[in-house]
Amino acid sequence: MTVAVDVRDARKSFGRTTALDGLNLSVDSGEVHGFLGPNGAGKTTTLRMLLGQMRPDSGHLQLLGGDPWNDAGELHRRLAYVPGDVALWPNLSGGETIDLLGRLRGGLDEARRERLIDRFDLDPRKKGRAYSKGNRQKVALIAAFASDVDLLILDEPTTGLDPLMEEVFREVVAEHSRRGGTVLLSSHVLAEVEALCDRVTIIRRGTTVESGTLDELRHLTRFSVTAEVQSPPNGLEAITGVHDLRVAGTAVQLQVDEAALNDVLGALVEAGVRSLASRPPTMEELFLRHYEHERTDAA
Amino acid sequence: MSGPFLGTVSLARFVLRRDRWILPLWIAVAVLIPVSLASPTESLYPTTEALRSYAETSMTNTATVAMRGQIYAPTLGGVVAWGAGLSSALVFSFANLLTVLRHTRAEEESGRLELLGSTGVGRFAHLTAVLAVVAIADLVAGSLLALALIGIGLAPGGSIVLGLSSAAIGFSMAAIAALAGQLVASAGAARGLTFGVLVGLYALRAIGDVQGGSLSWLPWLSPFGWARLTRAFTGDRWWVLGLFLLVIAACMCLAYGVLSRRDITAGLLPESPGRERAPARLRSILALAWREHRGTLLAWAVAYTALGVLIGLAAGGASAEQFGGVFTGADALFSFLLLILSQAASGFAILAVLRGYGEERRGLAELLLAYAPGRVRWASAHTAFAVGGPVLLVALGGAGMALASEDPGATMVAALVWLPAVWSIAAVAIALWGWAPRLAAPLTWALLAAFLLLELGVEFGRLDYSLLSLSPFSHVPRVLLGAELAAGPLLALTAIAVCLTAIGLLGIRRRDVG
Repeated sequence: MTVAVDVRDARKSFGRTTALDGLNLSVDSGEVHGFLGPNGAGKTTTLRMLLGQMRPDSGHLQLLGGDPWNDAGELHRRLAYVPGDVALWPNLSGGETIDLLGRLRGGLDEARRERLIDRFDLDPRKKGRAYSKGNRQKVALIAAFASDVDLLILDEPTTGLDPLMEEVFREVVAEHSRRGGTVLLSSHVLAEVEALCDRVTIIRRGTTVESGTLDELRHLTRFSVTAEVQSPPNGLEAITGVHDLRVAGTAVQLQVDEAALNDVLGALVEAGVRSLASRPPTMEELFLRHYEHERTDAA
Repeated sequence: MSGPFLGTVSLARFVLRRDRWILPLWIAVAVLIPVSLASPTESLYPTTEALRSYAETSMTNTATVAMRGQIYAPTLGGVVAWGAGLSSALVFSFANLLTVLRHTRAEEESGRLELLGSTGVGRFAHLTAVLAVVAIADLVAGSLLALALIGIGLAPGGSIVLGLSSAAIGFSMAAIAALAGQLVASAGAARGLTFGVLVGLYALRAIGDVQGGSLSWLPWLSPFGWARLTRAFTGDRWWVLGLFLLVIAACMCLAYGVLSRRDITAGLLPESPGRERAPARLRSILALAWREHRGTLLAWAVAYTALGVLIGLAAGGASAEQFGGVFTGADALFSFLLLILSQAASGFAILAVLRGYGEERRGLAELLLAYAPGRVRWASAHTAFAVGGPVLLVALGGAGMALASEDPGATMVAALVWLPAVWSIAAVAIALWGWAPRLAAPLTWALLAAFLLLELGVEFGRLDYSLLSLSPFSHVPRVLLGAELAAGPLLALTAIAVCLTAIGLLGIRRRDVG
């Protein structure tokens, strides 16, 4: 399997602010890769480096086998980009913008263009200045999906879309993926990431904190255990890997690392289990754990 | 205040707060420029005789009459009012129209007005607040100007008339800008429209003043004519100030009328829908740049053609007279106005470069450069308009004059020789765009303004003549005034322009974009 995006130890600072501090990101060809992190973590900076619009201070960057800065011309024929905050030319209509962007890259799929305009329910005759945020987003999305490209780089593309349009967005990403295309999706909508992505990379303050499939990430993290026992349990607090332990009489609630799950169950069985619920972390918990660090660190 | 005016006072405070630096600055400039032009008059021409001969010489110079109007009486007051009147009128006008549009249509276009509008503010509050602020600023500046003139020993009556005339023309342009801002949906178009009206009104006065005779009524059609026809120190016609009030009232009625009917962010006319598909030629970065620049370029081209033709017509009568056997009155006028036109064309060039930077700042370059091959090609497209636009403009302006000239070829040459100086200004903007984009707008405009002030300063004997060589415009041979068409300075200016442009494009290639 070839690698579509390979970023290793990328660093970039703007004046005294460090935007990227040794960031790693690897996207395999053909996968839908989620790119997550709190606001200001460096997601957009990374994407704009991949587009050759910013240059890293140091580090290795490779995109579709080429160098994003020097080979921008050829590489851009094989990728499409949707910025997080789409700005359009005020006096160009949506239809004109889609055509222009498509032609600049070297042509777009006419039939698919029509279908996308229809599915996204866009009025292509409106001028750029007259579109709402969601509609500007749609223009950029249609321009991106209407062309035959290997890689789609999407920076929080569904902010401003209504739920119906989010559904259409998921469908078209899935279709692109079925055609063998690669997607790098920066997002805050966790349900979207869960539904679409094969693998995710989580970054924080310009550094990669975790990367892997969703299942792998779940393994790395904690299970949530709720139990009702016959007598107050002993020794739970002594087990390494138990967090947020709350015991109220015979009701027990705790978080536990995967490795310590067996020990916890042993202690609970000893106390006599009446009921037990254990579930893997939800996406929210997974990400909040990483985002929480941000808050504690900042404080 | 209530109803549609609800919130006017707090919005006016907000406008004052946002303009707390620029407002005192323009008031100071509006007072200091006319006063500094007027105050040396007495020491330069101490006797009645000296004043009379200065006035007579000045009135034989067509260019001077076109720029500043007639001297009504060769007295100290008469010459001061003539020297200060229209320059003060222009400073007041520019400050007023720019302030009004910045706080109305530009604010609306950016979406900030919607944000404010959602906070319990009446429909007319914004426009009223801005107009109130500029009206007060005009009165303050006008009073200070009058006080300063009284301070240098001029008659109080005339000083007050001159101060009020300046305030009145300033606020007239504010009212015209307010109306323009209601009619069209984009701030750029509103600014262009108001500038166009200003140039047209100024030209009406200039033609009337130069031609005299059967056309001497023309200045009565223009507020810039009235600014002189109030006749400060030479009769003090107070009633002429009433004409300003009529224009102000008419424009404000129309502006409020449109505002009460239209949708926020819309103009008077509903915007026509755009095309569903892009025309076949819209397929390159250059074609996109043409779409972005063509409106402005077209407006400027029309203005330059009209000005060229008008100036040509106006000079028709003057061309017979010869000065020292070298050049005619028309040639002197053409030579002077070609300088003005080329300096204005540098303004166009700067705006064209800044449009490229604006594309970057607004996030358009981010989208565009993800699709298009090459940022240098992108920057070059805008550069093409900064370089080519002035060629078209200066050629059109020159052609209008050439039609009326005895030697059309020489007039065209005299027009085109200004281009290297214009390009060198454009190239400074490009170089800054490449290396210090945030400084491009302030530094380039400041540089152009510095060159203009340098010329004024030298012309009025306030600065040493040798300083003039700092300005690229001083190195252009004034062919119509008998100067030799020397290739050296033109090639040198072109070379500087090429180098600075290359440096700028290199910077854009190297730096982060967007």
